[in-house]
Amino acid sequence: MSDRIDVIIITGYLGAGKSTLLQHLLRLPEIVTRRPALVINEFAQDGVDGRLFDNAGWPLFEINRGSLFCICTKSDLIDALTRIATIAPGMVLVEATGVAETRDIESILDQPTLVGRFRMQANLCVVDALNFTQVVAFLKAARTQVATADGLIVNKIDLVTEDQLDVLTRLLAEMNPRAPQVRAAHSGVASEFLAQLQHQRTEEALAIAQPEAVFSQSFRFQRAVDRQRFLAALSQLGGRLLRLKGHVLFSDRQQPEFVETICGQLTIKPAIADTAQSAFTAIAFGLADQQLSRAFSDLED
Amino acid sequence: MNSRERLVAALQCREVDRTPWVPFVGCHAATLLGLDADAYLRSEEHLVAGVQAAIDRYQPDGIPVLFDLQLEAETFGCQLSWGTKNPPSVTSHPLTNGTPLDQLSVPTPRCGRIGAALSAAARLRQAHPELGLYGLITGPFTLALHLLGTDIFMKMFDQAEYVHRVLAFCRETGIAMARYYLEAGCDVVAIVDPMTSQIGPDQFREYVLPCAKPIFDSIRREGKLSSFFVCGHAQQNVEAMCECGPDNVSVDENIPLQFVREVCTEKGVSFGGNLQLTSVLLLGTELDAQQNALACLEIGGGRGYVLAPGCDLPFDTPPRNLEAVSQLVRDPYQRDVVRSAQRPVAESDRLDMREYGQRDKVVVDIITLDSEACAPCQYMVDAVKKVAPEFEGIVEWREHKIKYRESLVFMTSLMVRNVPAICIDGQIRFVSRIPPRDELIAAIQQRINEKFRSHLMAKGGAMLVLGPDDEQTGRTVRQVERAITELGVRVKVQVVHDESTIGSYGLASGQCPAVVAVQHRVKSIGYVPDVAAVKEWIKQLR
Repeated sequence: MSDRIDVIIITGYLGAGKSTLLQHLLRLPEIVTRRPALVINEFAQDGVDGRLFDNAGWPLFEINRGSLFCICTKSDLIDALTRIATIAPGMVLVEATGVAETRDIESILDQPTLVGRFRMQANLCVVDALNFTQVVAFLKAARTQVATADGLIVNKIDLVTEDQLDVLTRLLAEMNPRAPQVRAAHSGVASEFLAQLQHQRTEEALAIAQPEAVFSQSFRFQRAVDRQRFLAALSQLGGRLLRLKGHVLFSDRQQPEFVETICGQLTIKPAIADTAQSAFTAIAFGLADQQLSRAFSDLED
Repeated sequence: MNSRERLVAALQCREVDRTPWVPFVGCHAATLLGLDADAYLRSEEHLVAGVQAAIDRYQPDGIPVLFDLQLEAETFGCQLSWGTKNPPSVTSHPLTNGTPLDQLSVPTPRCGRIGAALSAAARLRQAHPELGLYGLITGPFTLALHLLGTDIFMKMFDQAEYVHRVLAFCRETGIAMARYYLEAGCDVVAIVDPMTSQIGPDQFREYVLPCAKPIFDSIRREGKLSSFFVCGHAQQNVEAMCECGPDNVSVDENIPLQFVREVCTEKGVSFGGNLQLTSVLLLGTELDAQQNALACLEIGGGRGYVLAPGCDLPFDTPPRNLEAVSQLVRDPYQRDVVRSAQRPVAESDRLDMREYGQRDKVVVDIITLDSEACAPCQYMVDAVKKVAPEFEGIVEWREHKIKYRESLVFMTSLMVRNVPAICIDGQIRFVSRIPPRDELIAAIQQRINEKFRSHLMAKGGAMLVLGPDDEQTGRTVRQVERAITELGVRVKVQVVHDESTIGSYGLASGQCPAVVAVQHRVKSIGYVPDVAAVKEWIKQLR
């Protein structure tokens, strides 16, 4: 049996539910009996998350100083893990920042002073079902965290519709077909889910990941937009269109209207900003080159 | 060519006499003064003294006045959390806490700690007219992230215009900060924008380029030079960074230098980096640092490259590693030595060291780059040289300079990875550390004691007296004991009366009393011997 200390890393965008998951894990007998040490590494949270665990008695290492930049996080984490190795807990739970690259954390375990002391058991990524499809197009870490995860916890399912969840499930499966998914309302996961996870080195996972599966594109129109052609474009893109938001001056109206789609749910209502232009931003996934551009290329009346 | 001229030439992709070296000393300078990072970063006096200490020790061609990407943010009301070993981090974001954008104003040269930074720059300029001085400003995207927090990634979708307005404000701040640093005497202004590593090239061109380019243009209009720093996994944006119009792009170890060279050369932009901050400069040895620096120099080539770490040096970076890089970049001979240490030694070339150190004398091997050219190596050789005579001929020492192939093979065979190193009878005892005299003497003495014990074991043995329990056998025992006493040796005497045991020695009872000498000789220690070797030992018993 290996005498290395197991490490579980929790990633996810800010507000996805990482801290809640950590609290949940700390109630599971399989975790508690292993006397875990905790590393809390939250971005610009002033150590708030750290204090939540202060009274529970777990060895707690906060590394939130200067955490905007990778080198500060790295040297802090090396320092924390070096100290953790001396107290030899049964395992370590690391809560990463919202912008952390999982591969950077894993590579730290290979540093000369730490190599052979730890074993990556799994990295879990908490996905915010409400906001993920919006942030994923803009934040690279949100994509790589999912692409390298050994298990995906789709959280806050109580805040979205079943259709939205289905789209999200397909998106996540496309971004990381290897990782099992579980749905949760408050980051609650069963022990069985953790037990089935197989760790794959993050570098290997990234090598097979689709680099730009999700992307955003902005569109502007000089003339009025034909409503039917616009709706037909949405229909053509189907579940591949994750989100669209903006103002559109349709040819059958005098004023622009506010338009939003979230995973297939379309809302059109009077403009919420003073604008005369037709402009929107779309987020899509899994489309061939230029397919999104072409879909919205011939809308003007 | 002085340091400043060399740096300017490299940034402009012109010919240089050697590659310029720019250690990005930020809070690390605090360690050189024995201070915490927070005390250091808040004092003009400390900044000047810290940079001066770094100049003295690392002999750079260029150096930043300050590396703190929270400097501007602090003036906008971002709250900072100060640490002792890191720059501060931003813990509150005014634009998400209710402060309207139009209430923020571009900082003046006297706002917050900016005044201290600019005064430090002016004093350093005066003290070091021949040194390249960098003024570092927070890049527009990173500054916008300080103002908005990670909400910026959400707002890029649903409030894109607002994000553009925030970035425009950051652009104006950048233009002002660049002007302040240039007026204070800096030669180079670097826009440091690490958070751009989080976005793709399309978003970079949409959001960052329109803000960064005017800042670089403003620096160029002043007739000064610029650099664009990024750290993290930002390979996707290097080309777009070049399109912003900097004179130089600097990256960390997360982006292959070869890639950066190709992209930047194509665009006529010089480049810099990417010494490994954590695994080499922070946690490695001098030799690791020199090997990494050599690899960077060889990839960087002789034109348009600046040797530098990829980001702010970690607080605890051992100064000796940076001194080793400085030595390497200045000394072609040192580069040859390090290059030779990198030559691979095939497994088949390795020496069989299992029997090494079994001679009567204690052998002290000192593995060095070359004690005539490397100060730590010289100190290590001197340390052994001074101690060896005290052991009156028992200790032999020799230096193995790894610029020679046979020494490299010897080093590899002993599993030595870093130099200088001291091995005693083939055992690695001191690596990259000159042992104090008493410690070295104790280590050698310990080995002598071990050898003495194993020598006794090897020469040890027993005398067996075989025979019945009678007077003749008794007399034989007494004769043997007397001989042992007279010789003054420690040999055990064993008496065997049992006929069958006597028979096992090939003697009949009629041949007794008999004396059998048994000699114990250690044949192997600390490893599993080959069967062939054991067979040879068995043959010697016959």
